[in-house]
Amino acid sequence: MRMRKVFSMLTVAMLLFSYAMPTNAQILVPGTSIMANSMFDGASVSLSTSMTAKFDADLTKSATVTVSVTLEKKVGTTWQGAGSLTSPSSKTGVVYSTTKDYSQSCTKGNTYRIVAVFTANKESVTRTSNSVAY
Amino acid sequence: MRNQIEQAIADSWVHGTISAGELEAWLHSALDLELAKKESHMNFPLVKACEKLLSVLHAQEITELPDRYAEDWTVVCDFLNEMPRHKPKIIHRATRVFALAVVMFTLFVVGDSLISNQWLDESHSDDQQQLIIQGQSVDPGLIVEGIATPSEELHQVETQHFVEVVDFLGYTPQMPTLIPEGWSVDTYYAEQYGATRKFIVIYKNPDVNGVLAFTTVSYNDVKSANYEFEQNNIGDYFQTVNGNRIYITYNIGRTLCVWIEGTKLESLRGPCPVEQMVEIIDSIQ
Repeated sequence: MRMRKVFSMLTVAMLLFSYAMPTNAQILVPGTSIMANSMFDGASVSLSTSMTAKFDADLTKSATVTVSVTLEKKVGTTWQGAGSLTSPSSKTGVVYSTTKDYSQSCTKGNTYRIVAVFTANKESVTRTSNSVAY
Repeated sequence: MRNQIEQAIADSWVHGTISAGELEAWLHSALDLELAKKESHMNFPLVKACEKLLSVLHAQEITELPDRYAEDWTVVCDFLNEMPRHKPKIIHRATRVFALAVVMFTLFVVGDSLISNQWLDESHSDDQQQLIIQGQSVDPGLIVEGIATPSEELHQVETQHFVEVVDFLGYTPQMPTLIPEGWSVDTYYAEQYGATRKFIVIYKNPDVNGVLAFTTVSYNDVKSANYEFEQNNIGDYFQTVNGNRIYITYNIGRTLCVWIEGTKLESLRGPCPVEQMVEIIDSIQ
């Protein structure tokens, strides 16, 4: 009986500990919600009508930035994944800015947007572009 | 205020500072307002005066009111001033100056939004972890869009020499003139993409982990504005000595200051206390 109580208490303690365990990107601080991001000050991705994507990221310190990109197509009122796209080139520094032409991956007559995941030093931010009727 | 503006419209026409077309538009709206009322509440002398003046304006391009319509004009002016009808109205010079000032002030306040049909808007993500800056625009029909499409080629320059940035941008960008001890310029960065120009100054301090960065992004077409800053939580607004209304928040150990001037987005980000950041912002010139 005592063993069962001890086991239950340990389980509860482990659950609480795992919930409060901070990660690089999420640290709980009294009076605030989860913290933002230690590598990125901000980022954005935008898509032009000719399907050229513009990627921007401002870093808190110099690091190598990689970006993974997925295409989404509007079907009715919902967005559906339309596969991953070639990543723009990675760069090292505190300012990341580049463009990439994705017109070859799109078919005329559809509405698209792209989702970009910027990563630096294992920390990531995700940005969704504006939608474009191609 | 409404009466003052209406008086200003009337006076402006008398003094030739608004066109007959603009007066015609105003008379139409005044007439429509009266005609929309119940018959018992309608101001018949005003309706009659508006109709007569409109017929004159329709008939010919006039820059000066013929004498025979002076009475109709008086009716309109009386209405504008809510003065007893048929009472002679004396417009003092001081009133005229005041009216003109009201017109100038109104145009100053409203005119910009009529011509500049785009602006930058701030919002927050659902989890409050991002400050979102997006372009908003309305089409008042006053501006005809050009057919030229801006180049989608990205032009960039990254240098340690300010003069190269000035050459690249074609103008001298504003930047902080006061930087805390220990910090110095590491890199200037500028880019042009389509109708958007960006200028960044990156400062480094050998004793501090993380950069201090001042950024200006000028959007000629705000449709391309879609930037998200990282933040711990929703921040507060602060008014600087220079009059900038700054949004201040934090991203872990960094202070993030963001402010908007028309279609220009500016930010200062770095591991400095907020008091220092405000001092830096106030030194921008």
